[in-house]
Amino acid sequence: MKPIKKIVVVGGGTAGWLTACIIAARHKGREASGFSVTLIESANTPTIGVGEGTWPTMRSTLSRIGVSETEFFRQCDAAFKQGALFSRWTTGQASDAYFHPLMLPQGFSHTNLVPHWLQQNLHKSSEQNFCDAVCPQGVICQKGLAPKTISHAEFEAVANYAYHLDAGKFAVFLQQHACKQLNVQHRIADVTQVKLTDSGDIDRLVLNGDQEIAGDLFIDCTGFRALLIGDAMQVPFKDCKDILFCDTALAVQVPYENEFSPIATHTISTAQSAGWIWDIGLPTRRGVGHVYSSQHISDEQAERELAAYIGKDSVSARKIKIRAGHRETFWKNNCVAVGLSAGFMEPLEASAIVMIELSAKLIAEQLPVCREVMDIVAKRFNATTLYRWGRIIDFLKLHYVLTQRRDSDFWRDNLDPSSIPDRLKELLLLWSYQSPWFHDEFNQVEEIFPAASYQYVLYGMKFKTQVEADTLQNTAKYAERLLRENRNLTEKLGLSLPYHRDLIMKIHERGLQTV
Amino acid sequence: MARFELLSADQHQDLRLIAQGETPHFTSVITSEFFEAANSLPIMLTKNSETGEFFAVVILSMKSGEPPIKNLAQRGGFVPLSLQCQGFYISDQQIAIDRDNPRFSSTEGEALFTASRQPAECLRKVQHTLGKLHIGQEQNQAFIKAMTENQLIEPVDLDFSFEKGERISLKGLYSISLDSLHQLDDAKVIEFFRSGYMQLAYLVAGSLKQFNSLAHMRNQALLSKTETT
Repeated sequence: MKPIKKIVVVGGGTAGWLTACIIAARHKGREASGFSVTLIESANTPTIGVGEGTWPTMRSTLSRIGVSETEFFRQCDAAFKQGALFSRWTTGQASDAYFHPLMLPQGFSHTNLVPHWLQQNLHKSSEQNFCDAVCPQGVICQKGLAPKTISHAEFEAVANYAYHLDAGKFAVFLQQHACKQLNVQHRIADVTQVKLTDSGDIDRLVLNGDQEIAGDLFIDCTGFRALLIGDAMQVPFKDCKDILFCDTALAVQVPYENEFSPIATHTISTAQSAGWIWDIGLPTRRGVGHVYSSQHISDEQAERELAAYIGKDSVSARKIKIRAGHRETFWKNNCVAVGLSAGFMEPLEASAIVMIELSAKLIAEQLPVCREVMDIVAKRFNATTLYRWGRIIDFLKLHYVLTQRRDSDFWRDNLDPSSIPDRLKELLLLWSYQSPWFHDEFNQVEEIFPAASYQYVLYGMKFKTQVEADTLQNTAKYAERLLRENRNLTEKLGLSLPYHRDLIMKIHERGLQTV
Repeated sequence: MARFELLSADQHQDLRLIAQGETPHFTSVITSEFFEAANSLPIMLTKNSETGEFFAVVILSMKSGEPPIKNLAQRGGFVPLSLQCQGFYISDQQIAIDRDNPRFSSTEGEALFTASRQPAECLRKVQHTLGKLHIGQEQNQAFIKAMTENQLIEPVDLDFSFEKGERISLKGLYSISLDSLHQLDDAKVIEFFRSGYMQLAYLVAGSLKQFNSLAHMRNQALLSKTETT
């Protein structure tokens, strides 16, 4: 038996440090029997570090690796994220916007409110939007309120939340925690050569040309370079630009007017002529970027649209090429890819960091005891991860196929049937007769996008599902109650929650309690 | 609504103080009161809604708006200092009063000031008690800081069933975890023993049992009410 005890993570960005923390925390206490996590960071490779949005999973991840949420807020320039506002995606008009919140619709595990809401709107002259009808979070976001108060403990919430953060600061924060609290070994060196065994496993890495490091499992967090999974293991990359067209991003930082300016508690995503602009509010600045298809507009035009959004004549933005797609497999032999080396999609639903968390968690929990069983674990890891990337692609594409915009080739091309995955086509047909809910179409544990997310996007974008009135009788009374309870909860939270910036200032000053 | 005024002989010459105010659902206590308090009432920690910081309280009734479950005799004569000072506050080294507190009257109770505009005995007592509370606050904060830093505070779920199916759950209350206390390393145990924190921690944890007697007495009261009507 060849035990798996020496884990080597290559890459010192968000993916590397987060993965090292998750694995080291899960296997804490095994150091005495020789278990170790080593992270090798190149001094010469800059990190990408524009990932600024997380999912609510980050709350449990941070809690599990044992960091203080208060310190996280103080050191990572973090803010609360309660969802995303999609502006101009449906019709392109200035007034066109909908929320994709992080709270589930009221009573979601008992009753599907979609058909009831659709039925009610049939008889109304003005429609109440789906999000506000079924959950309070859209209103909380619009009022600029925080998802909790200072008397809620760390990681506890009234309204479900994720974070916006400064990815550069986050990597440093995780590094300190990993080295000080979790015994992760940190080596600054360049990997100059990867030595394989006869069976194709990675045997050792040559560092700076003359030192060597051996390991049992190697985790590739080297970003787009994919030093191990791509160069050494030769795993091909599966492009998906035939489905998702955006291939370039321009990123800038925008200062606030003053230190008391409100901080948005949701990501604002505003559709443009050939892509969309993200707008993320951190306590000290906004991060704004234009993601677009270079096949459809020039860099200059993209820059003009970004400048117009910010309200300036010109901007000097950092340009990042995006290669939308993922590896054909993620775990080969004793090498597994996490982060950008595994794949990347446009950040429309902040899928980058959550995929790091999910992959690292899966590796940590399923960590093979010995080399003899590693291929079995790898096979399962690959199946799950491939499924997840597939669902991300479907879900991102959903935003593009529901549009009514026909004002540019970009939006028209997105509706070309050859660009729409078959699974998504089938689901759209199904959903025109019955709305997605709970587990009917979703069979995987830890489904990456829950049915609720599909509901918010579909009905936020005015998707029409036929409703057979007689199927609603059983649940009509209960649905009425849920909708009423939601109105009451919305009013109550609107009056009791503090302003977003005020709570963050208080956290900086006083801290949150741990219980 | 509260109406705060700085206390002055000029302005409040004719103001009188009723010995006992309304008894609230809970009231704050300082560590020097823990011994006496723990004999009859649960000492709990709860959070200040403005700052999120913990402070210590004793629970007097199961619900706000209800009279105290234990009378003065059943509490062994214990009146929390904070109740003795009800209506009085310290503001920048001066005494302020909440004019709207029903303890203040122009007809009933004892006069606050003598005819020669000197503080009367009842006011001198309040001044003395406010002083004790002020010093006690600092000791409380140090104790709570020690408890917080060593992760000894735990939330407590309190659910009670009463006659006629009435259920009351008290939210936002915390106590000291005996499990965590027993996991402290030896050096900490000695430090806490010497500083008196160990005893205070046990008083808080042990006083949780007083909920049994409060709940029992409230239930008895409900039953006798039912019988007489």
